[in-house]
Order: sequence, then C-alpha cells, then structure tokens
Amino acid sequence: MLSLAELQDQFSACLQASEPGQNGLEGMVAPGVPPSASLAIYRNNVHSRFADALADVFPATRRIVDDAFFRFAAGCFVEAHPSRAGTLIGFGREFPVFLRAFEPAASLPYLPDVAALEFLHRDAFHAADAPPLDAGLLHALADRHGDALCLTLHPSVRLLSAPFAVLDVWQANLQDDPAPMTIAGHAEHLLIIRPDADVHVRRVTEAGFAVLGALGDGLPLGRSIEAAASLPGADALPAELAALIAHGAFTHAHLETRT
Amino acid sequence: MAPRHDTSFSRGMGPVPASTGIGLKASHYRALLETRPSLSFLEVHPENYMGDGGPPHRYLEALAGHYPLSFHGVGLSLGGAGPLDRDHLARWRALVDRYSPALVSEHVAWSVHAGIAHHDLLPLPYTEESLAVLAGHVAEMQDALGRQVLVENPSSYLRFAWSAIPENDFMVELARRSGCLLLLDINNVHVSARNHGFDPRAWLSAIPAGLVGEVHLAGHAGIIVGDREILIDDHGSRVRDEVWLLYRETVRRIGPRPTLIEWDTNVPDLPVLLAEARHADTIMHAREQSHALAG
Repeated sequence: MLSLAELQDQFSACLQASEPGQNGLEGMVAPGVPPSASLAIYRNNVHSRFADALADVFPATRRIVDDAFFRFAAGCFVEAHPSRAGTLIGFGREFPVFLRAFEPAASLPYLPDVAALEFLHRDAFHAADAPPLDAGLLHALADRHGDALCLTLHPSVRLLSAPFAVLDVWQANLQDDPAPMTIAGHAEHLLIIRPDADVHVRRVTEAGFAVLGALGDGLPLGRSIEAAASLPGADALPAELAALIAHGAFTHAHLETRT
Repeated sequence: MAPRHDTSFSRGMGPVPASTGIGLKASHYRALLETRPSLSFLEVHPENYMGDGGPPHRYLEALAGHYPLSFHGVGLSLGGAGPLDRDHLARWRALVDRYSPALVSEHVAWSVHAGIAHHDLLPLPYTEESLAVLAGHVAEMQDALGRQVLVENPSSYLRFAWSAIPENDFMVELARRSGCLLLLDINNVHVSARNHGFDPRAWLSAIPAGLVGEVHLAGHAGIIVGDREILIDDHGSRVRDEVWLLYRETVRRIGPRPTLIEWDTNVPDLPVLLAEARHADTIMHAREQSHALAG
C-alpha cells in the first residue's frame, strides 16, 4: 500500500511522461482492462486539456504549423513548463520564448512573434478594467503642464516589437483559408490595448513605441519625447500622442515630483 | 407524509430555488442576457474568472443581476497530499467576496502535486488517510471562504486495491467530519458504477437526504478499450436515459434539490441546454405532484 503522497508522486510522473507507460501503478484496479490503459485515459485527458488550452490562446500559431505539429509542440512545452497554478488563465506565457528555441520550428522564424502577439492579446483581454482619462481633460493638462506631465498607461496596455510584419501574418491566419502571402521583413511596433470590451492591436511608430515605454517606466512626457527624438516617427509625435489619447491609452495624469 | 421540502441544503447559503440551473458558457453570455430564460441558477468554474478584469467579469456581473450564481471549483485539489495552494484559495476568496455566490462547491479529487497542476480530477484511494486529508482541506476551504461548501463525488476509470471504504460511505463520512454538504453527481455515479461494476442504486440509497445540497446531471461517452466499453464523463451530450431514471428515483427519495445541467464540451446552442433543464424541472415537479396526490 502506497501512502497518498507516494501514490500522487507516481501518478504525476505517469501523467507527465512524454510516452504512456506500459504498466499501471501498484494496487491499481481497472475491471476488464489493463491498468495501463486506464492510466492512459487520465494521461490523454491531461495532455489534450493543455493542448486545447494553448490552441485557444494561440489560434493563428496553430494554423501556421497545423494541428498535429502544434500538439507535438504543446506536449514538449508542458514538459518544460508545467502549469503551477489552479487556473489556466495565464498558462502559455512562456510559449513564445519556448518556440524561439524549439528546433523543429526553426524554419519559421516569425512564429514566436505571432505567438507573442497572441499571448499579449489574451493577456490584455484578462487585464484589469479602468476608464481611460478624458481626452479633453488630458489635452488641457498637456497644454498647461506640458513636459512635466506623467501619464499612467491603461492596465491593459501591452507593447510588442517584432522584426517582421507580425500583425498581417496574425490577422491572415485567424481566417480559415489564408491566402499565400509575402511576409514583409521590416520591424513592426504594436500597441495591444483593451480600453473597454474589445482588445485592439494598433501599429505605432518606433518613436511612439519608445514614448509609451518611457511613460510606462514613469518618465514625464518631456523626457519621454526627448528619448525618442532621433527615432523614425519623431516628427509626427504630437499627432500620434493625440491618437493614443483617443485610443484610451492613459488612465491617470500627475505632475512630475522633483526630489 | 414527509415534509415537502428538506431545507437543510440551504444552511449557510443564499436562496437557490430547488429547481434547475445550467453551466454558464461564454458562447451563451449574450443569448442569456438578451432572452433571460427562467433558470434557478448559473454555475461557473471560478478558475475561469481568476483574471483581473475584462469581458468575463463584465458578463458575470451583468448575469449576477438576474440569476443566483454557483461557483464550482475544479482546481483546488482538496485530495492533494500536500498543502492547499494559498494563492489559489486567496483568488477564490476574492471571487466569493465579489459575487456572493449562492452555492460553492469542489471535488473529491486531487489535481495538484508537488506544486504542479494537472488540471484534471484525479482518483483517490478511499482510506482513513485520504479521509483525514480531505476533511482537513475542506475545513480549510470553509474557513477561508467563511461558509459551508459542497463536495462532489467523482467519476473514475480506475480504483486502488487498498481502498477500504466504499465510496458512498466515504462521502458521507467526509461530510460528517468536515461539516460540508454533498453535491451528488448522478452521472458520475452511473459512470463509475458501470466502470467498476457496482450497483448505482445501492450507492445512492446510502446517501442521507439531509446531506445533499445540489445535484449534477450531464452526458457521458463510451470508449472501447480492448473488448470492454469504458464510460467517460465528457459532459459533451444530452443526459442519458439511465441517468434520468436514477435522477427520478433520487428526487423521489430526497426531494427537490438545485439541479445542474452540465455541458462543457461540444457545447450546443442555448435552447438545447434549456430543454434539458426543463426536463429536469418536470421530473422534480412530477415528484411534487405525486406527493400532492398521495397527501
């Protein structure tokens, strides 16, 4: 007779094994079927639940590689990064980074970027709610206080920079039969945000991307813009900031406190 | 004549009429809000609402304005040999504080070991050791949430030779030791009875009516292993006739209880679920009529 801890140790090892075992566990009884077959039912349930959970978060990634390859990758991922929480929300956070080092997917260098976008999209979906700052008020504050204004990013804001046109690839592969496409090899900077019910993905300039990053780090507006001054898009920053305000990217404003 | 309603199920819980509810699926959020069909309650897995915000909470808040909620956990691992995950319990507590669900339940199962979560309801040996572990964890859950909870009998595909305590006795003893109530899953009783070759009626008849706070009904599937059919509780189809029959017999004995139609895979359109719920209501109602005639 195994203690409960011993039993759960051995059962867990069987569930996590990359191949189903040939034997059951000590004392396992399954009328009419080999104990290994009963154990395999649990193992299959566990493996398909994880693969389904990942397929739900990464639909375009799955479409790009096909279901069989995706399930193979999911199995390898779960072995390397087992779930440690009682909820599956947040599961797959490390999947994009895992794919970057996943040798069988090396011929698809854009795949980890598509996966990164998909995870951030889901992450923004579950992020805390907050009403965006009123655009009129924010413009008035910016006119009056200008450079010293610190802006808090909306809690759903996620930023992604990729060396490919990842947004087009992602959108095309959310459809059933994506047309063949040439992947533009230029860098792309994306803002993922859910100001209300729906998650939006918006392209921003490299300068706008840098300003958002600096504001997120707590820098005031003046220094955030300064840091982006030499980047592509810097000339049009005032218009881009106005667009970001309209998109609901900010929730609070305060004046820089000098120490 | 016995009292028409056994009210013991409502101890420590909000009012849930003893009639039928359904499992809440994201694909039905809008249809439920638009049509607001008559239902006793909506049941959710709290694990699906453990994000900070977003549409899941918006819909749940909107629906909580129209229906009592039932929180049916699948991830706490009450039967785990190790300690409960305090972070998970804290997330549970935050959700209970936010939504004040009318019913709260978990499973006689384990799913977490050595910090790794398998996200499946795994079988336990029915021993004194398991009983002590479960009773302690149920008590911890009840303390953390500040309320009585229900625990559900599992379905299983294997058992352990040293399981000394019959499953139904194990459930009853767990309720006695921890002060919890039982969530009687009649589909699980049927599935396990077929897989392990015991009599589901004998199993059910040993459960005191006063311990039963909720009933679950669901569909199951069969898979062939070797030359034998194993039943899997996949919650992916209509409730089977054999399970309806057991349900009819059970409510005749214990009286009406909040009853859930569970349908988690191949989720159909809302009207199909509502038709299942109506059928369960009819069976409960028929029981009341037969009592009225007898009285």
